[in-house]
Order: sequence, then structure tokens, then C-alpha cells
Amino acid sequence: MSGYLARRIASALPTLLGITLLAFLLLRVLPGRPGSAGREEGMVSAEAMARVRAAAPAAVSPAAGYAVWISGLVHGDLGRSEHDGRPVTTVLGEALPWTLLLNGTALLIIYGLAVPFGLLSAAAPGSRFDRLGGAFLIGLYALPSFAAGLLLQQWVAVRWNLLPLQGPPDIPAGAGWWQAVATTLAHATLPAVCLALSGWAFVARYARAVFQSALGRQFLTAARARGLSRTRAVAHAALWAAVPFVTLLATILPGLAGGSVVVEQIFSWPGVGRLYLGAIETRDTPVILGLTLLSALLVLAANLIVDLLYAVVDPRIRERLEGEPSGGR
Amino acid sequence: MGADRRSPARRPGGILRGHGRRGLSIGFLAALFGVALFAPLIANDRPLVARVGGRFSFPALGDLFRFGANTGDFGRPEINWASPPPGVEVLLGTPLPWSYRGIRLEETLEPPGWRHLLGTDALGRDLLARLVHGARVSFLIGLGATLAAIGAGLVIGATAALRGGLVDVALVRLMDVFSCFPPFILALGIIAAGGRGGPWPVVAGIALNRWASMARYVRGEVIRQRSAESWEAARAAGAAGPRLLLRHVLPLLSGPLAVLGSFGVVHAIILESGLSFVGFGVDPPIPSWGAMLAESRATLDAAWWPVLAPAAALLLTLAALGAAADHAGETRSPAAPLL
Amino acid sequence: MRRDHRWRAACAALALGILAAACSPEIAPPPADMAPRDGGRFVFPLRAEPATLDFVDASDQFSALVTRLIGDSLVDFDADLRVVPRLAESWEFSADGKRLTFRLREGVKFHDGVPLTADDVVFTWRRIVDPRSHALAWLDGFLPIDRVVAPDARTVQVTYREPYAPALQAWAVPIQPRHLCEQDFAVDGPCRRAPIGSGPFRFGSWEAGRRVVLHANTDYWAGRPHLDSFVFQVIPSQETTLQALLAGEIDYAPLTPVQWSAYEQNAAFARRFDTVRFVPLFFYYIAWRGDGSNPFFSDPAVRRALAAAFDRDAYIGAVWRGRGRATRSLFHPAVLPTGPEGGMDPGAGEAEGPEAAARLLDEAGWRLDPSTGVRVRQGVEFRFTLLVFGGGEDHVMFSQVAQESLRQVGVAMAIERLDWATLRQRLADGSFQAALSGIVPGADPDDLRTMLHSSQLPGGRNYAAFRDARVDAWLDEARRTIDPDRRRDLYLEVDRRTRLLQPYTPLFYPLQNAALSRRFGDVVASPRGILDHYPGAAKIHIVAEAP
Repeated sequence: MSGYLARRIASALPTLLGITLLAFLLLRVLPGRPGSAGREEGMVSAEAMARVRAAAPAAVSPAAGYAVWISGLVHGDLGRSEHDGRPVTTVLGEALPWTLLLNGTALLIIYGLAVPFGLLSAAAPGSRFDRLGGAFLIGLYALPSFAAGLLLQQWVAVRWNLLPLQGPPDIPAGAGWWQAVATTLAHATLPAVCLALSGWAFVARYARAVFQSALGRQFLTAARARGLSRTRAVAHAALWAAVPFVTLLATILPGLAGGSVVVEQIFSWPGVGRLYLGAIETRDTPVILGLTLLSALLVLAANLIVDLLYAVVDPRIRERLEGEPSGGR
Repeated sequence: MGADRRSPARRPGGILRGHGRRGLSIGFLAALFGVALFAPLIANDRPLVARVGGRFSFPALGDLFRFGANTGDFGRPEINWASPPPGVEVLLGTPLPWSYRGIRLEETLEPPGWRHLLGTDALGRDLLARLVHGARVSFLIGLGATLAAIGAGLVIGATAALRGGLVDVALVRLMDVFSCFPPFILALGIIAAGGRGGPWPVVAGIALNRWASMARYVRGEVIRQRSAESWEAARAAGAAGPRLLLRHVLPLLSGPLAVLGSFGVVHAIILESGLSFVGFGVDPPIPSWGAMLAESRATLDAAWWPVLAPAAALLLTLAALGAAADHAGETRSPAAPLL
Repeated sequence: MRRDHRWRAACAALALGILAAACSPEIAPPPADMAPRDGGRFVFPLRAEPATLDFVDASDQFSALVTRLIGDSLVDFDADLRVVPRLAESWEFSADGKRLTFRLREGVKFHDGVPLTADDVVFTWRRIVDPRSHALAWLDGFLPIDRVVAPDARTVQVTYREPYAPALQAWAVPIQPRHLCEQDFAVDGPCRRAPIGSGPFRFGSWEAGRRVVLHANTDYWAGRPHLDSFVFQVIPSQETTLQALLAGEIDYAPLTPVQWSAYEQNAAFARRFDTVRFVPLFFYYIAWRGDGSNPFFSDPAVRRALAAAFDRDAYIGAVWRGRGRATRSLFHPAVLPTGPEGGMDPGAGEAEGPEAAARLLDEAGWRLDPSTGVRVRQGVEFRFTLLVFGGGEDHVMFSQVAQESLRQVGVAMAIERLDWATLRQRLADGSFQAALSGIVPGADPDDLRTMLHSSQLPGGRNYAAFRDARVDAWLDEARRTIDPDRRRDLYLEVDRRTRLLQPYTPLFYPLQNAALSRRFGDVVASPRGILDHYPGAAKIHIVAEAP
């Protein structure tokens, strides 16, 4: 197993290189001068522009630029933001915890509601619960997140004053840990729910399909014929169906990170999504590269965990992992 | 049709209801497709049939093939169809007398009513007319991008799983690179690089960001199931390559893929609306459902109906796609016991 | 009293007859307690985070806004955009107009207790003209300076190469502490993200992506500001801004016409919030690329014709609910009143509307082809592409209205939406035919030089590639002319000529309405908002507890 882990981590390196190279190429294709866009709003004369440009470091070739960036990366230096001059690692380090908090909460909300829902509807397909519940979740999915966000803010936060309106938590000095956790969760709830809206329907539907086919399996039918109780059959099916859920996790993790741009804007959440959008708007190359690397790392880590979970859930895969040295994963 | 493998007792309403739902949803999708295809004949400020100077003319017909031109659809502007001059006679108008670009600044943000069934937007354009025309672009983007993504995902994912070895390693790397890449950025980059001119760069951008997750899923499932007996039997019988893919892989995955695909269509439409927010996406005044959603945000504090129309259209489409996909998964799956 | 202030600002700055009716203040009971009281916190929303708090490098509007509360400048603008003293007690120009001498106030201290002297002023000048400082917002006003010297601790002598009329505008730059900024230039240091200045508020904290907190400088030379703290809260979404206002999380919010229409009838809203009105220094315009790279816009008559085709008033009425004004001058009315208000005809006698536009196009040789409905000249169809900023609702919406207007007169305009960086690049490269954009002019009419002078091509903001010897000469002369009346006449000449040649078509500017919590008094609006003028934020105080 540890040999497998080492192989996996080693094999992630070319992927990371590929991603950064792709990002670098994309940035070259994107029109717009890198760096200073958005900071030259006012009336600046040709003379002033020429003067400032002349002092700027000379443009380097793409290959040289990439080489410099990679050599910096090896030393743990991602460069400095062209927007505010801070080290990219600092900028990312500030945004990342907020996004992880938000997406983690959203993931919990999604799975916590959608999987039981899928199981219940699969247990009684075509029932009123199945049909109405499914329709309701699809309705939530089709609701654009900016509209959902505004509705949540208007009603839950402003009219009923149940949860904070916007922004990450401010932990008062001297607060106990439980108070800190409660405040944090209160602030994360509305944006996480907003983020979860689009995930619910998908995961619930997927869960329903998976459970349905699991419940329909011949051996279960046979087992039930032999007298296995309905509950036990469902439990069997649930365990068996865990594998596709693990796959699904790998599918929706990157989506959650990308999908939070709008939610982070609406809820003034200083996370990675907003940072990304801002960096693209200002063509802040070092930050975009750093963010791409970061999200790639997160996804690769998630994939690795998913694969390990596979091995835990499905013995056949475990055997393969340990038995086949050259197997892909 | 294919045998329903569950006992009728577990399906309240029985087979008939299931078929009814399926028929309904497929009928709805077909109707929507027809609406998208013939949008200019349904909602147009030019009539279907008119007599100009004693001759018959079909002004709306010309718009049928003007797809993606955003210069505001030219054509005989000397005729004011709303109040035709002498010698011009409107014989048959379109069901909706509004065009998607028909700006009427004196009728901005009118709530739904008899004149405008779904109300008007911030520029006084009929939302139903825009919805009808938006179906064209959204269908193109949603279906085009999703089919491209599923096709690429199926081929690449199955190839990786079936070939194994170095091919698998290389293809998995490629999937990793694309699926780790933040989805929005990829779409943005492709659109920016692909230049303008219609919705094709949007389709390509969205497809490129969706295929990798499809491929990963296909590969995972094929690997998981390739040791199964029926599979081994097929291989032993000499099935290989495209035949194996079509006869054995596709049926195995059709159910989940249909679910993934139905959501993919809506996801693509919503992603397009996200692109519209940032200023990419189709060029105005061509409507897409996503662009309509994006436009509605600015007036959200005063008017709910501009959001409602495209959101409801998305909802119905998704529900119909979902119902159709469910049945695809249930009925057309000889390998269902394997799943 | 406090209402008067606000309205005087809007009215005087405008001097617009049409607005007179709108300028009569509403009648409301004065707050019981009128005496300014110390204490309290004002939360002000920012759409985006400042890029930096370096006084010299701050060139985006959010950075500039925050630095002007922390830093102190020699002079500043009051709510009517007139130059008023701030750190400088007085100043005088030499007879030849080339030397400007400032006399600094006594007893001014930086927030760390070190006295501010003329040395710091010289240092700030040095930093600005150092190209590595990237001082784009200030550099233009300092390029004509030959040298700056400090004969003694309270005197600053500035020598210009030639008489430079907008000289004072440049000295609104906040002064940086030499003793800190000469050595410590770390990103998080006292010159960039945790600045030390001498202004009414001292820097408290900056939580990235969230807020910047300032505290009252109790040692301020003009007396402490009334507020205890001032918070800039980053709220990227306009819808959330309104909700935050309703929830009481922020005390002020500029609202869109649509948002006003949803709340102006609401009694509870009116009880809690006062309305602040001002005409922001901003307007929309279309640049026509007139360098011959396209067959349409080298001809001023064509540009005038298209300008005549637009129905700006209908757009303002319907989409902005009347909260805007059409303009035909490139000079913003708060900078240089020129319209009927300023003694000139709106369109210099030019007729407007589709008929006038069609006639002008006919005269210019663009004849309608009845088979296609598009105008043609010498075999070339009148089809062009307008670039717009896709992220701006008004950019996208007006471009579609314009498209319909032009369709009526037989001109086919396609719209291409771009993101901001791409649009700026295409404008700077000149790879466009026409582009719709917005502009934030400075308080001095000399700012338009960068849009109009032939020397500003390429590199400046002369996107239209406009070259006119007379406009060049007037702009150059106005820059050297100290006499305000003569100077004004020169700019009026420029205005007349640019209306005739129409290198750019100015469209309209908004009339901004903002909601302000009734807890605060002496909030004065200028065309730059409620903070960016002097004394501005320093005078804001609490008048009542929240109802």
C-alpha cells in the first residue's frame, strides 16, 4: 500500500506540470495586457504611461517565463501578485481556508440530505415522495444561485434575522471554542446552502439511480427470496452503492471550487473563487498560476483519497492495487 | 418495450404511468426542439405571409436561417409591419407578434399579462419571444457541449480502461490535467482564444471542461465491471474495439450517463450564464437562457419575472430530460443486473 | 443645516437650470440633537478591495478613497470641486507663473508622532517621479515640474518648466513620511498596506478581501474627527449591498435606479434612510476610430449622423428611470459647464433624430440599398462592430438600444462584448471600429488632453485617433494659461470643435442617488461622493441613535 502511495504521488508530478503548462499557455492566449489592467482607470497620458512602462521589467519569452516560474516553485516561491505586490503564497493562504470551510460545509449539506433522499426514493420509486421530492430538488437546481442567494438573504437574514447576511465570521476576542464554531457555522450556512442547491438534485438523482440498480440486483432478489429482511437488503445495497458515490465525489469536488465564484460574490466571502475572478480580470498571471496549481493539488489529493476509499470499499480493487505494480491507479 | 424487471407491485401506477411520463417528457423535449428550430416562425415582428404590391411574400421565413447574426436582422426595413402602408397586406402573422430584439422602451419591466404573457425585460422586450429564441442558442450550447463531452468521455475513458498499460497512463494524465483545471478558466481561455462569431467557442469551451469527468467516470465503471462474467464472455466471443464499446460498454453505462448527460445539458446552460456575467458568452441581442438569467440580475430587486421565465424553462427541460433519462436507464438496459 | 450643505454641493457644482427643481431640499424635521458629538462608527461599502494603500501608487478609485482619509495633502478639493487648503496654510504663484510656493501648517504630526515637514513633501515628489513607484494617478501633474526644494521646514518651492495652470490639482496627493518610506518599503509596511499618514484617520487593520478599519486620529491638527472609527467593508455584489443596508450592517449605499424604484415608496425605508444626491464624475461615450482603418468613421459627418440617431433621453427615461442626463459635451458639467446652462446650444444647432441622421448619411454619400435595407457607399455596406464592456449592464443594454436606432437609419451594427482587460487592450491597440466605454474625468478640464491631443497617440487615451491642429493648440495654450476666464474660453472652443468633429460621442451621465442612515449628520456629497472631498469624512458625526 505504501509503495502504491509513493507511486501515486510521484505520478502526480507530470500532471501538475501539465496543468501549469496549460495555464501558462492559456494566459498567453488571453488578450489583455498582463498585470496592470484595472489599475489604470483614470486619465493617464502617453508620457506617463511610457515612463512607467520603461521602468517595468522587460518582457521575457514564454518559455523563459515558465522556466523562471518553475524554478521559483521548486524553492517554494510562487512569485508576487502583480495586483497588490504581496507574495502569492500569502494571498492564497488567506483565501484558501475560507473556501475550504464553505465547500466542506456545502458538501456535508449536499451529501447529508441527498443520499438519504436518494435511498428513500429508490426504495419506493414512483411514490409521491419520490416524484414530488425529485421535482422540488430539480426546481432548486434550476434556480440560479444569484436569485437563490438574494432570496435567502432577503428572508432568512434580513426579514427573519435568523442567520448572518454576508461575510465570513468575526470571532470576538476571548470567545470560547464553541462560540467560535457556532459563529463560523452560522456565517457559513447561507452561502453553503446556496452552493448546495445545485448539488442536491444531482446527487439525489444519482443516488436514486445507483440505489435503484443496487436494489434490483439479482443476488439481492435471491437473498430476499431466501428471506433476507427488506431493511437488510437496503443496507446491503447502500454499502454496495458506496463505490459510485466515491466516484461522484471526485466528479463534483472541482465543480464546487469553480461554482463558488458567484456565491462568494453574493455573500462577500473572501475565498478562492473571488480571488480567481479578480485575478483573471486583472490578468494577474502569478496569482492565476498559483491558484491553478492549488486547485489542481486539491483535486489530485481528492482523487487520491477517492481511490484509497475505493480500495477500502471494494476488495477487488484493493487486490488490484496491491497486486498489479503497473496498473494505472 | 423492454421488460420491466421489477414487479408491478413495487411500481405504483404500473407500467402505463411510467410510459405516460416518458411519452410526456419526450413529447415535451421534441416540442421544445421544434420551438427552437422554428423560433423565427413562432415569435417574430414580421408576418408569416403578406401581400406586397399584389405579390405574396414570406418575410418571417427569411429569418429562419439567420442564426447567430447579431446585427439586428436586416430585411426590408422600409415596411413597417406594425402599421402596414397601403399596398401591403398582412395575411398571416406569427403566433407571437414580438421579436427577441424588439426593444420598446415605453414598455420596460412590465409584469406578465395578456399583452406580454411572461412580461417584458429591462428594455421592454417580450420575454416569451426571447425565451423562444433563446431555446435555439441554449439547446445548441447545452446539447452540443454535452454530447461532445459524453462522446469524448466515452471514447477516451473506455479506451483507457480497455487498452490499459501506457495508453491508460497517458490518457489518465490527460484527464487529470483537464479535470483539475478550474472549469471556468478553461472555458474562458478557449472562448477568448477562439475569437468571436456565434456560440461555437462557447460550446467548445464548455465541452472541453466537461469531458474529463465523463471519461473518468466511464473508465472507472469499465474497470470495475470488466471482470464480470458476461463481459468476459463477450471478449472471449471475439468482441473488441468499437464493437465492444457499442454493444457492451454503452448499454452498461447508458443509465448513469443519461443522468449525467441530462444534468450536463442544464449545467452547460448555467455555465453559459456564468460566462455571460463575466462578459463572455453569446453577443447581444441574441438571447440564450443563460444570458437572460444573467441580464435579469440587474433588475432583480424590482422584478422577479425576468428570472422566472428562463429558470422555469430550465426547470421543465431538466425535469423532462431527467424523466427521459430515468427510463432510458430502466428499460433499455440488458445489462441492468450487472449494475 | 446639514441638508443645505449637501444640496449646495449638488446645485453649485452643476449650475444647471434643469436641476433647479430637483435641488430644493426635502422638508424633514431636523434631528433633535444638532451638536456634533464624538464617537460612533461609519461603515462604508466598497465594491472591490483596494489594491494598495500606498499614497503614491494608489490609482484605482477604492485605494484612492481610503488613502485620502489616512493621508493629508497640501491642498484638496471641497464639495464643489474648488481647491481648498489642507496642509498648506497658504500658497502663491510667482509673477511668471512658473514658481509655486507653499507655506505649511505648524504642528502637523504623522500618526507615529514625528512632525511633518517640507522634507516629506520633497520626498513625496521624488517618489512620484520615480517611474518604479508606478504612480500613474499622480505622475501627469508632476511631469511639468522642474524641481521641488524646501528652503525651510515649513516652506516648499515648486518650479515648473513653463506656466502650468492645473498645478494645484497635483498637490492633492497625500504626503508620505520620509523617515519611514525611505527605508522600509515592505509590502505590509508603513508605506503600503499599513500606511502612516497625517490625516484625520489612522490605519487600524486590513483583513484581506473583507475590510479596512480606520480609527480617529485624536491628534489631528484640525481637531479630531467626530467618528471613532471608519470601516470600509468590501461587498462585491450590488444586491447584497442593499440587503446589508437594510440589515443595518452598512450606513451608506449608492443604489441603482431599479433598487430605488423598489424602495422609494417604502415608509419604513424612508424613516431609516435619507437620500444623498450627486452627479458623479463619470459619463459614457462612444469612440469612433477615425484613422482610416475603416471606411466609415474618418468622416466627421458620419460620426455626427450616428450621434444624431441615438435616442439617449428614451434610454435614460426607461432604464434609468430618469436618473441621468444626456450630454453632448465631452466636458462633464461639474468640471466645465457648457450646455445651455453654460451658454451654448445643446447640439450646436444640429438637428437630432432618425430623419436628421438619415439626411446626414445621405449627404455623406451613404445611400440606402432598398434590397438589403443597409446603406452603401462605393460598393461598401455600412456594417460595423461596436465593442462593449460585457460586465457593465449599461454598456450592454445601451449598445442594444443603439443597435435598434441605427437599424432604423440603415446602419448595421454588431455588438461584441469583451471583458475589461481585453477591451482596454483593443482600444489601446486601435484594433476596433467603434467602442462604448465609460470615463472618470479629473476635476480639471486639462484631463481631456489625453483623449484629444494628437500627442496622445499611441499610448494615451486618444482611442479615436483624433488629430486636429486647432484642438492641439487650444489644449496646449489652456494648459499654460493661468487666467481662469481665458482658460475657460479656450476649453469652450475645444468643446465646440469636438462637437462639430465628433471624434467621440458623449452619451449620458448618471444622477446618483444614495441611501444614508439617518443616524449621521453633516454628510456632504460632492461629484466624487461623500468621502473624497475636504473635510468630508472628518465632519461626519452621529446625530441620533438608531431608531
